[in-house]
Amino acid sequence: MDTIAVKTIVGPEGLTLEDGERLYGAIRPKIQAGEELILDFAGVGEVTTAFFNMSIARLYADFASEYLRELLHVVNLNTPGTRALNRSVENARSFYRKK
Amino acid sequence: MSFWQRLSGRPEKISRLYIPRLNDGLPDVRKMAQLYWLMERNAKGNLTIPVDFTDCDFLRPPAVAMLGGIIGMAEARGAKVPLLRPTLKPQVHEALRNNGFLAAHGIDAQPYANNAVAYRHDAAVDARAYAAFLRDEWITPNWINVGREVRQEIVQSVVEIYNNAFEHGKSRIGVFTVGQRFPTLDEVSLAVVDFGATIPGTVHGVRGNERLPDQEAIAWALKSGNTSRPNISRGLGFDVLVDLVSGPGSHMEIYSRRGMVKVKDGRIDRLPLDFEFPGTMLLIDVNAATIRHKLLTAPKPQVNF
Repeated sequence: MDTIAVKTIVGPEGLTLEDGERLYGAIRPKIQAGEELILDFAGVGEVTTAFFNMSIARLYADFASEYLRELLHVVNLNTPGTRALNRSVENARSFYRKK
Repeated sequence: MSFWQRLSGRPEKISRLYIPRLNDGLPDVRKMAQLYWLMERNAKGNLTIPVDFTDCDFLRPPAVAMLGGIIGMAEARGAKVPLLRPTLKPQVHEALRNNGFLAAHGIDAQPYANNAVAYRHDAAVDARAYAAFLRDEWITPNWINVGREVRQEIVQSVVEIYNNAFEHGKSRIGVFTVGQRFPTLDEVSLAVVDFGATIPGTVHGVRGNERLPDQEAIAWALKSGNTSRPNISRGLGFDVLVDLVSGPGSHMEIYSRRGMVKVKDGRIDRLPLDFEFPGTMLLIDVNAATIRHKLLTAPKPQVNF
């Protein structure tokens, strides 16, 4: 199982759409290939929903919740970060389901 | 001559911009908007329109942010807008010196002090620098009793709105920020102003929202899950702030075009404005103790794919 150290891709914060794009670029091919993946947020502080919208929640446009739950494993994400990620994912589930 | 007398008859031409006493209530925001439109009508290349503080004995942080925007707009149109230093009353001079506003406009370059937070103008987006400003100059550990995660929760919530001002708002002259700290109350406040497309302007672009009154359009943008983008799940970020100010002691107000929304104690009050605000102004008061309590008492969230 591969591990992506998020800090090496976005730096100490994930704040912008561009940060999200970079992480998405690293995740997407592996998920597409059906590989399990650990996203390690060690050393990452502030993260916005905009960042998660572009990196992780965007995967819901092409993949089902069950599939992502099976393949993606998030570790070392602190409480504010987890709240932001869950908010982003919750909105994405609803948004892409309606499309 | 009073501020209102000076503005009566909607003068088409001014030789000076007179700044009145400006607090942060609705009548004050109305005056700020009037000053903006007055300056916009007058600011042209090669004209000099000095800012006169003779009538002003008090300026709250939102007014300082707004004044920065008015000057920025006029300068972007080619006008010169010097501050008339001799017209500054001592207390106004001190406030503007302490928050760095005077230094940003070329006079009295001194570091800020007291409970003022540095005046900040972002002509272009730089979310990392903005987050550092919030973290290091607004909710610093030596000013307010917050732990790392509380600070992070506040900073990342405000950065959402900062990003939004550039992305959705397309503010041509950038974003203006001024804050304040109230250490004994465990509170911080922040005013963020942009002069872009406005929230109603963005929300009205969403199918089905075309006829929403401006205050309803702002309320729509506050709701989690609402997005102005047709192909990707990307909200306006305001729902994060609604959550942030949901506890006692915190609140926020948003002025945008002809609408105003106030969020306090779980209620969202909407108000149509009898004037047009030339962009979006966010005023936020955050009680750190409330957020600390919320984070400590809520169950630790698990990632939920």
